[in-house]
Amino acid sequence: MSPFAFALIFASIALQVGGQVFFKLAMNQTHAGRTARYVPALAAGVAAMTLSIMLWIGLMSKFPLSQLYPYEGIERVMIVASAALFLREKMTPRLLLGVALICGGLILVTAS
Amino acid sequence: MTRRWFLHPHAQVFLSVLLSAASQVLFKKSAPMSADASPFGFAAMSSGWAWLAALATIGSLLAWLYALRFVPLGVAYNLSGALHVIVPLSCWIFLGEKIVAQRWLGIALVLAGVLVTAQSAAKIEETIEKEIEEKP
Repeated sequence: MSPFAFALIFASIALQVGGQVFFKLAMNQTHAGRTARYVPALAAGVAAMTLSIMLWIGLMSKFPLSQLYPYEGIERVMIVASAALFLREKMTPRLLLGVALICGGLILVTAS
Repeated sequence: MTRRWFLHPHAQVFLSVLLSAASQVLFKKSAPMSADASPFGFAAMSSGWAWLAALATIGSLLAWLYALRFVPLGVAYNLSGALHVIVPLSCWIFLGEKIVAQRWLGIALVLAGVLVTAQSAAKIEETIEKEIEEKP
């Protein structure tokens, strides 16, 4: 994989993480009963997600799906960390064990 | 909640994962590997599979957004790890990709991680159900 391909993969991951955080922010607003409040966050989330998916489709046409999937492990850690940092979600030991197991599984899949 | 089990956030996370897996396999079908493909994948849009995949993606997104109203992002994203079980199995079944022993072990670990999260998520189930009753 070329450095350019790595750059595209990490751009896709960063956009995915940002998009998920925006989605959660938007959906939290829907409980407040102020309909218009969630639109900007939702739009930002959709924009980030769309770019991320476009990049991902392009990457899939160049590399086997199984070779790209391991990078989702990094994405998983980043999303859970972002949820704790930016959304102030509670991190339980079980949740962290879940992340560790999933990432461990992804490492095994990559190495195979 | 048996009455509206379909609207349960965990059911919606699962639906989202299923549709997402379907879209991954369909997108892969639409984008056969080639060295000179554009990095943005627009060329694949001429394939009918790509449009079906896009529909699945939209459905997956709607289910995911609904689930996010009630489930913390960290928990929901961990549950979505089921994707890494369903996608390789789908690739094996529908795309004829091979799965070696070590990969099966990795898939099993991922599944364990999802189940561990699901168990902890079940603890906040009651809170979620109350919230749904209040805000359908």
